[in-house]
Amino acid sequence: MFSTSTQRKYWTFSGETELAATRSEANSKFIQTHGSHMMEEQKLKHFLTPDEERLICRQIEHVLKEFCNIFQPPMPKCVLGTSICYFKRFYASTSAMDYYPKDIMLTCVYLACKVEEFNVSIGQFVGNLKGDREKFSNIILTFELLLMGKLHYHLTVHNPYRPLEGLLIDIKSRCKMIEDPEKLRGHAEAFVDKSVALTDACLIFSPSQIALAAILTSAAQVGKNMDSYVTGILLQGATKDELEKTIYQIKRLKYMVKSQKPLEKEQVGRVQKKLLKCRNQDNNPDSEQYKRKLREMLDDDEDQQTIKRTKISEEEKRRDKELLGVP
Amino acid sequence: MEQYTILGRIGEGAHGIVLKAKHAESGEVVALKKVPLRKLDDGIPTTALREIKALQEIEENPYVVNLREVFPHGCSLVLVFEYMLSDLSEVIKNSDHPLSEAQVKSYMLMLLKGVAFSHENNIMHRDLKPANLLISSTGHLKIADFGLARVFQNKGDRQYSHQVATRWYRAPELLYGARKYDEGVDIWAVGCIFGELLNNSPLFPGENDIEQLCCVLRVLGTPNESIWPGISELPDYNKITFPDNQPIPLEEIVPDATHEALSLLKKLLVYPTKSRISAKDALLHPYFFSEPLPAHHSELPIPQRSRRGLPRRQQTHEYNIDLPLEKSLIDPDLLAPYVVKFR
Repeated sequence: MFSTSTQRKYWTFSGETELAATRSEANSKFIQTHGSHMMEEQKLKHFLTPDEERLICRQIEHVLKEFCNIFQPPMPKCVLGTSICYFKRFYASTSAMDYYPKDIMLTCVYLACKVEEFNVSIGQFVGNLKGDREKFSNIILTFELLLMGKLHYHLTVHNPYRPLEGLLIDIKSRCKMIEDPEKLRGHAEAFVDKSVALTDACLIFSPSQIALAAILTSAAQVGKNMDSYVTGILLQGATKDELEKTIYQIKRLKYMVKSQKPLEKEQVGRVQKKLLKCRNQDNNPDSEQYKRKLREMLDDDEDQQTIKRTKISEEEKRRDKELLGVP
Repeated sequence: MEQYTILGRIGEGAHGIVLKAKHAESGEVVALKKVPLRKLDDGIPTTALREIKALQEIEENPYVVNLREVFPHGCSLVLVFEYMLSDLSEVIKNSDHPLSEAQVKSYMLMLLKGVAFSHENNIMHRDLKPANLLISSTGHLKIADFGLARVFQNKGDRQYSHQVATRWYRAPELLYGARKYDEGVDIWAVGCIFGELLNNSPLFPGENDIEQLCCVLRVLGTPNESIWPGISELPDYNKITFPDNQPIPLEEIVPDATHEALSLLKKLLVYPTKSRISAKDALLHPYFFSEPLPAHHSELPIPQRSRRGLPRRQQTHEYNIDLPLEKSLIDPDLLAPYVVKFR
């Protein structure tokens, strides 16, 4: 149920302004920690701006979509929806410089596969990638737990695909003015796909609002007006205030989807180069820094185990002595 | 992890160990389920993900065990649950005489409330059994172990694995290999648990999957298209044929049950899943409103958790205040030969 979900409670932002504020806070936090030794001017040159971070993330979201679309075996749409949502939630409060978006992207898709019960083994999963597959699977397994933590272990994502099906069924049974509701499907699905892949709608709107906006857009495209269905049937019994709010939300969403600008390749390339220099090497599985950290952690773990074991055996010896009465 | 002081080990689950611990700040006692992640080929196990996914989304309910928090610890993932003293299988095992009707009623009421709540939240548990029904120190029953739980969709075209649920409580459609099923599998399990509470022994204790089906068919009769429409389309239906068997009246299987109890049981243990009563409707069954009424939780047994599977030893002595005191004291002379003396 969306109304009681963690998505609504913890992952719905009031709008793009709030979202942008959270993102730029993550950006300045990163710069503060990693650029304390730099002059202001140098910082500007070295680090990504919040806008540049968004650019990179949008580029990777595009890659994510392409990756899901050509994935073998074909994956259900909800895996794409859920992984994009994970990705956006991750970078809502974490800088793209802190964790490399491509690494996180793969981890998001892998986790979403499991959560959406699209069962593929890690081998099968990285089989869809070109390049060093062992490295990819290492990256994914390394970041899986971190990703879950950043998502606050809220794994359920409500996607707009099901509400869209629900609305189509409702129109078939309760809206007589549309003779063939299936005709609405094509444009409506295209709208939903766009909102999922290109916008931050999943962080701002409820899945049913996205689905409704899709239906209304589609109806307009085939020259139908569905206002009376919305006000008279679908939202029957709603107060005037609620009705106005819903209409406002739908308008905002339509505008959001329409106003997306395509990415400029050159700019993406430039920012990508910049990112390679300013990314946090502590979180780069390829870097020496990271490998050292990992070794230390593993050693620590083993040390603790040994300490524990010796403690237990000493304790046992002591108890044996007591029992035997040996001084 | 620093927030918790480990008090002991509760047991070993299918994925990882369960520890008893105390939250330093609040002093509350909790159960820590540690899911090891090292050397796992496919990363975090799906069972752990399902459990987290299901439990994070539902609001607190008195009949479903509460997931308090999740955190990583070294190379493992820790799930923090409220601490529960025991489980229903222990209650059944340790009760010297069968539970009273009021007590059974009380357990069924709590179980059905928990199941109804899960189903309302679109979660099917898929592994209901007495060992997964935990009993708190106040006698309350709570459903636990959502490791097999699935969020279901009512559209009904989703395929699921039929290898779910512990065999004795597995619904007949699963035994026939069904890939499309619904929350009715939980209702079947509730029926099996009900029968077990009434009889103090499992209703269908099959030793293997084939025998399990035999057990069910022996009691409910051999199903066919007329009593169970759609059965011939189940994947394993044609793989095995059973001789025609007339059903045995449940009155004979659960001889001590009252009329109302039998009436409810008959609505739970039905072949076609769509004909099984829903948990919500079962709660309105006259069984729960007739004398004796469900027992108050303070009237329910609270067994101690048996340690490492050993039979529970009575630790507290039964004192008789009328006996002379000397009889309960230890004679020092008996101990003397075993005492090592130091010079």
